Amino acid sequence: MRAGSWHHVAEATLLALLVLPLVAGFIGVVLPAAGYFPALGGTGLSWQPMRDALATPGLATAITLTLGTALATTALALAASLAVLATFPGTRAGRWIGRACGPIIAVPPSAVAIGILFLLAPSGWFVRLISPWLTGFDRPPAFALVPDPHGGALVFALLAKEIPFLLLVSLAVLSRLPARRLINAGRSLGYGHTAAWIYLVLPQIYRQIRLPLAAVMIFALSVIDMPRLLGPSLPPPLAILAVEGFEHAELTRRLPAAFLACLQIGVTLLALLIWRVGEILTGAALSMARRRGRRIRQADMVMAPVALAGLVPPVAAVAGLVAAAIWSVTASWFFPAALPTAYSLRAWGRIDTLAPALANSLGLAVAASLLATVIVLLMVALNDKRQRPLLRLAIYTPLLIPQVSLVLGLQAGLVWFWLDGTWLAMLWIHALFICPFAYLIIAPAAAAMDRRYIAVAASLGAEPGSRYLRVVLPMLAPAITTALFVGVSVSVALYLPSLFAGGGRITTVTLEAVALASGGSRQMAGVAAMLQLAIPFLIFILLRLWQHHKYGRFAGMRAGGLH
Amino acid sequence: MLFTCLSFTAQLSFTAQAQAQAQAQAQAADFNATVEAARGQTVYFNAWGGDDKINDYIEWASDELKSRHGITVVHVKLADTAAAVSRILTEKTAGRDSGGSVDLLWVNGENFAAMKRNGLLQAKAWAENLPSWRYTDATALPAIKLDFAEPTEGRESPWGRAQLVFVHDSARLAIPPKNADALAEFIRANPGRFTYPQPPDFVGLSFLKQILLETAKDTAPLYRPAEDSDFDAVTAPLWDWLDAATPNLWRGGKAYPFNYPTQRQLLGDGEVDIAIAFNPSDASAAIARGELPDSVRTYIHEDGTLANVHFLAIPMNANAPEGARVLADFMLSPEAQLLKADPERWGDPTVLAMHRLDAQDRAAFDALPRGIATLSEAELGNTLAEPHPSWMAAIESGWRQRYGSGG
Repeated sequence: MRAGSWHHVAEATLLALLVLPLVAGFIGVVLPAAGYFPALGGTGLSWQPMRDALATPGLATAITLTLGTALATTALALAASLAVLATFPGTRAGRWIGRACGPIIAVPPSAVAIGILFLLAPSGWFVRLISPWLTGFDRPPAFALVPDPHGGALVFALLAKEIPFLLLVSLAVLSRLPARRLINAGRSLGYGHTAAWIYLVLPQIYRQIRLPLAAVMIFALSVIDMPRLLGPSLPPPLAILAVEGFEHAELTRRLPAAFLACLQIGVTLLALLIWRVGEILTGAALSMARRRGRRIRQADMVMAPVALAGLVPPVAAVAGLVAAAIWSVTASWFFPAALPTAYSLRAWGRIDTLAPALANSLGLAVAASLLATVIVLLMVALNDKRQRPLLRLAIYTPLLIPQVSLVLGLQAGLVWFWLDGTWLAMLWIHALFICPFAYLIIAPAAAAMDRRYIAVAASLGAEPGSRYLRVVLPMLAPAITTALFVGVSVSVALYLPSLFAGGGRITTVTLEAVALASGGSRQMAGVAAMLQLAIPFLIFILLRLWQHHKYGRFAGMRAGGLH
Repeated sequence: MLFTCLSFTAQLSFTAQAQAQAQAQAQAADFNATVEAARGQTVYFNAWGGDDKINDYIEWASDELKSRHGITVVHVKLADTAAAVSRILTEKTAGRDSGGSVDLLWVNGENFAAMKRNGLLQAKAWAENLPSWRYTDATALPAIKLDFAEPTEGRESPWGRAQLVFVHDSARLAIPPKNADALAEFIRANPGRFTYPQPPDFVGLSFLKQILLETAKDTAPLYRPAEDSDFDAVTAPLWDWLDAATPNLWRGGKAYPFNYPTQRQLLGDGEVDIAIAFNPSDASAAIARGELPDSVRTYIHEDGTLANVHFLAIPMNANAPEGARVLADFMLSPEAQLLKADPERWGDPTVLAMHRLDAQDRAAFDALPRGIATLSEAELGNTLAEPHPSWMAAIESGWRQRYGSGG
């Protein structure tokens, strides 16, 4: 086969792999939203689902809540991660923070939510620790700390995940910038350190993290498992309204729910638009300040407190996970005792009931990450010959479309092709959601690869295949290990796609954890949260060992490795 | 004359007995064929998975079916039964009339009615042909053939009984309010100390129906389809009660617990004074697990509380209908029902009729421990029948209109 036609076949296959589920999902949600659903007697198009959806009690509040929490999360996560980046570079604390980011990112959102709930609920560990000796409470306080009616707890929990994520992404960008030279140049013109950083470094970082930022915002807009545990429920965010409608005993509620899932796309676009306007205004303000030569000395005062505040949510998440660990070995722990009054391994003794979920999660995470990595490597190789914008758009789509809009319809598509509840469907869907992250990690590393090594190999007579295996892959190895690790974390954390593609037959630790956390037993929820952590950490250690053992000698050529 | 009469009756009963025996034999033969067909099948049992001890019980039954009949049972743990009903509907839409993803579904009331209405159940009646059906008595317990006033038509098999009970911590609340008015007064006097699971949660909606049954002037319309009555007039007392209570509920009625286990946690934490359960022995079991202090007790309202039966149904497109029937039969057997009624295991009251059991089984049921916080059979005897299932949806949507946006 000629190389050219091989490329076409590969591109077509990749596109089909990436796009087919999206199309199925889209059709599966648009048709019912427009009133077409034969099993319920809807055979024509109608406005009724839209009218019913718009009449949902509290819809306006739900939309405001959704927009507000997503925009707040994105803005605060950006501010905090940039402040950390400006405050701690090159210090020992900075290196420590950078190293801690990876593992925190790997903690599934639902585990973070369980931890925050255990820590900050009115009956949570924090209040227990300071009661009754400081607060005088012998019963939990009646105020709604977590969950709260305004989504504050939700934003806080999201920040615990997103600040480290943005920090890690920005650190990677920063490592490719001549930051020190820029800052020195700024200082030589009489600007303070922070002012020089804001004027010269920040815009360059920002330009390169816009896509991850959009991903943060869209995730915050459509996340299900976190607000189920931490968000307000009267009304809940829009995505949850849609899922509730889909799962309601009154089967006709599915049609308006499908419309709500479509509406979610509109809300997403609106959020992006608002963000864009904010971007333009901030950019204009910044460049005006720069043109006028403002020294913004106050920035020095503001930056450090913001950076410190930005560390609070991730630290709270870690403390929450400690609380979850304690709960998992608790026999009884009544308010306001600071620690359990009796311990027991009973909950861990029941781990056999979670074993299938654990095995599924592990198998899926590994298989889907490998698949996604292969897809991305193939794509990078294709891109090498010629840019393929369509393919790139396709690979990013799962990140840019709210999950709920995609997944509710996807279920119908999967059922149609007898794929629901199969491993194939789970693997496919999981890989689909891993691909964008793998691409974000591997593509820049491939672009930054020092091609002279390949040329040297060629001049030594290596065939293309052998050049790829013996030179390109080892050079990409750090990026590939990072992609695999991130892939495992993404897969373990997937909630809604697993719920719908698994059809109830394939369960995962995250599905179990959310079910247990909203159910009766804090002990079992604690165990499930621990198991959620176990998989990414196991993989993290294995990958590091493997990378060290196998590719340690390529260390000088690395790009985009684990931190 | 008297003698003839007696002997005639005896003869008649003898013939009836012989007939019944012959029928039983034929059914047994039939069922043996079912058991044979079921061997090697995998039964996807979709059942609410929010309670550890229920999950453990289902696991026990799965192990038994594996070793006795070579049937693999997979418990698909649902967060909400409606999700499975919704999935079956999706399958029907896609024209999948067999090979469905659900083989057996734990269901009752509203979900059963929705399945029946949308043709999602097995077309043929099967439940009354199960060998274990002979241990039940529909005259003594009509609810095994009448699910929330909806005739079951033998298309779901009874599994257990449930009754709404209230749970209080006697150390904090010595004398609990035992009717709707007293509860209203308690809520007014103790702001933030009462709540109920957020509808459409089953227990939350059941609580609303309980209040409606207690406050309604005439409960007769509640046992007919909701469409046939003036909804606003019938439900007005409920909304009045709720309008008065809501501002003084836990979190000012702006948030509610997800379900009854979450509310049980709130009681354990001391955030609220009263919890609700749809299982008389739930509190005793929670005490045993260390989730509630041992000063917790249960009570019911003076006029009685809602009681119903929950069932197992087989969807129209089940992939393993034979295995599903064998599992449903096993779940109805005295052996499985006895274990289920044991508060150490689950504490779900049996649907079997004691007078249909042999002496040994009857004695075993009598010997079951009751648990420290569980009321006696006599105290629980005071029950209210479930309204027609259509009221469930109607009340829920009324509730959402009024309180669904956080007031």
